Amino acid sequence: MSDEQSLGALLREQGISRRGFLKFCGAMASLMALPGSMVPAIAAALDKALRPSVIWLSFQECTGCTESLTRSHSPTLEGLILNAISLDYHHTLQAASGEAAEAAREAAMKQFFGKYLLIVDGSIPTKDGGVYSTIAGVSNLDMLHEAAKGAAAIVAVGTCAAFGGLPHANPNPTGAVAVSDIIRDKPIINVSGCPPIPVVITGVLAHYLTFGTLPELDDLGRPKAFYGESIHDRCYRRPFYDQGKFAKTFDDEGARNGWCLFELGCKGPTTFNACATTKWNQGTSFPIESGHGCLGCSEPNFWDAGSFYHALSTPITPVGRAAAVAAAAGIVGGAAIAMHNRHVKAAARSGHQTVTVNDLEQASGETK
Amino acid sequence: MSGNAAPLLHEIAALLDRLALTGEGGSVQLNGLPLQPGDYEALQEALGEGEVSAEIQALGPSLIRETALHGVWWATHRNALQEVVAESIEVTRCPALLQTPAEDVAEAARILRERLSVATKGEHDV
Repeated sequence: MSDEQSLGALLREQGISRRGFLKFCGAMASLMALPGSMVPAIAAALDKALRPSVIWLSFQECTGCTESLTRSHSPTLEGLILNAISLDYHHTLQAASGEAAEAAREAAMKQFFGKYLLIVDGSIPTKDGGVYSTIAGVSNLDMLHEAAKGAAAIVAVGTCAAFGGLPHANPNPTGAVAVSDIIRDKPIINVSGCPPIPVVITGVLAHYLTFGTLPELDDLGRPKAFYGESIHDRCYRRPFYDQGKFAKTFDDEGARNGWCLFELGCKGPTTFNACATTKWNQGTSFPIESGHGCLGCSEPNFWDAGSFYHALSTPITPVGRAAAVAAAAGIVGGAAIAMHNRHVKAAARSGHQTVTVNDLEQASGETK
Repeated sequence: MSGNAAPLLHEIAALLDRLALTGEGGSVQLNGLPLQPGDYEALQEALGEGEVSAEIQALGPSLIRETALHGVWWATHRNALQEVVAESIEVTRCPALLQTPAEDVAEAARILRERLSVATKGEHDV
């Protein structure tokens, strides 16, 4: 249960020194793309912050988002932030089950009405009265309506909660929709990704704890600090793109040399996320660094945006020429291509296509 | 020098100018930048090794070293599992993390007086 103990007092009780706390705040500021000069202010605010009550609802999902968050090895920033909140309901993580679990949710909703933070992962099925996903006999649709009433704000964690995600993919048999399709009268922050990067989830919580407000959002409701730039613009392979050096298959010389994966269907230019800089698995790497193009998992309808390997991202103009234009015009050229690719992506989405092994072979044959 | 090392060095030079003129420096967060292979080493080589090196044990080790360029510090912060949680180049006369927090100074005085009073009490008891 939430109490009146401040975060600073709680951390000092756990034996964390003021220097340790300052180091933690510095790392959080760097994570939230805030200037280092703000660290003392962040430390002062976090020190006094009271533990907010958090209710986490898991709807039509695979638990990958929770896995992403909890598989980070402790002690980490994520661990510290999780300790800093009072997680009053999370049916995968809590010890209580059955009626006791639901009673804990109802008690927290009543005690902290208007103040709790509601986190949702998973989409919400709306077809046939929302019967396709229920918890304790209550449909996800009804539970979301009820829990949203007393929420100070809602964080939609993962692409399913943010944009509908995989359940929403064609033909969407359950009528799955995003949180923002149902709740219109609460601030909603979308932390998309399949799954989202763990520190992005905790970064949003840290921002809320520090400033008591939601961070600045982009046009899709995502925090700009993490989704402000495309994977492509932050990719370490970007210089190869600018030089027109592309891998044509997954095992050619270009692939071995670490050249740009654009022609192999990389969705980096149309995908906005922090993978290229924050990376995965304790900063080990991210998909492109492992030799696979970006799937675009933090964007709406990524599953229906054509094949992951097909020429979706290929501009109508030959890539070499487009890249030369981009290199000459710098960021403006890159932005023009991104705009163009968004258009291509939309076209591919409307003519949904599936991919087979034959398609893959054909595609690699075409690009040879 | 290729890649992103050169522009970062220009930024550090500008921060040094500001530190010299106004007393206010700044920092460059390395872990949020798309450094290319070789950039990191190029930065280290350009900045060199200085006179001061300090290790802090707080939520894991932090290593803060002054580079051969006075006022330019390289800070690497790790967690208890030795993973890098933040890395930055600080342009300052002394990094904030090396200074003792004011609250800790007050607390230290209180703790020392407590110890003294216990010791004095012990002497009287004898």
